[in-house]
Amino acid sequence: MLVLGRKKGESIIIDDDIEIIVTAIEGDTIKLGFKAPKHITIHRKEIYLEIQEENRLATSNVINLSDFLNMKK
Amino acid sequence: MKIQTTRFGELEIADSSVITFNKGIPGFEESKKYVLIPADDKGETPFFFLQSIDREEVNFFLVDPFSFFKEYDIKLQDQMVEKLELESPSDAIVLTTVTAKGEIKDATTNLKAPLIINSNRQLGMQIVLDNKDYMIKQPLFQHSEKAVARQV
Repeated sequence: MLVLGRKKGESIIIDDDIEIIVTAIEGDTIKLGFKAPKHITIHRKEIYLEIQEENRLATSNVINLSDFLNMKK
Repeated sequence: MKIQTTRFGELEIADSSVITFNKGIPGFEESKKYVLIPADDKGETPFFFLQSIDREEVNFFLVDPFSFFKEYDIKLQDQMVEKLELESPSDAIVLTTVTAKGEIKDATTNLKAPLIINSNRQLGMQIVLDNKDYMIKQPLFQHSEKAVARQV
């Protein structure tokens, strides 16, 4: 893994068209700004991991379906 | 074409009914081809299965979120509309995953990350909404009970 030190206001360029800017540093929290082409999706990793896990839980072999299927709209 | 599925056994499906998720579905990135199956032949339930074509054991349980959450509202960003090749909002099918540990009353649905399917081009994608009010584990039934309670 590449590790770079950056100060507030400095940024990093990835692949010509993605820029990550350190906009603020407050204690152990840093705020990052992103400039990227529209087709690049950006998420907090924990949200992505939660969604992955939720998708695994939504596969029907781990759900007791009979109750659901008896329900009408 | 014939496909093998753990839940339904062998299924005969029309080639035109195959939905392509170009980026897969998070957690199942390698499975890109699916078919959508209503949970009830007569179409009387808001529930659906999304069955993987490549992996017989992969089968998501989905619900039409608007059946439970009338106020649910999705704004698709331009790049999503482009990726899904959507030409009209009426082509978009919105479904959310359902999970239930134990009892049905504890079932939740993921309003934060709906699956959007372009029913015209047979393209699908799971998106993440910025709206902080939409939870990954939104209770499916307590919500309606509360809504009823408010009316009383």
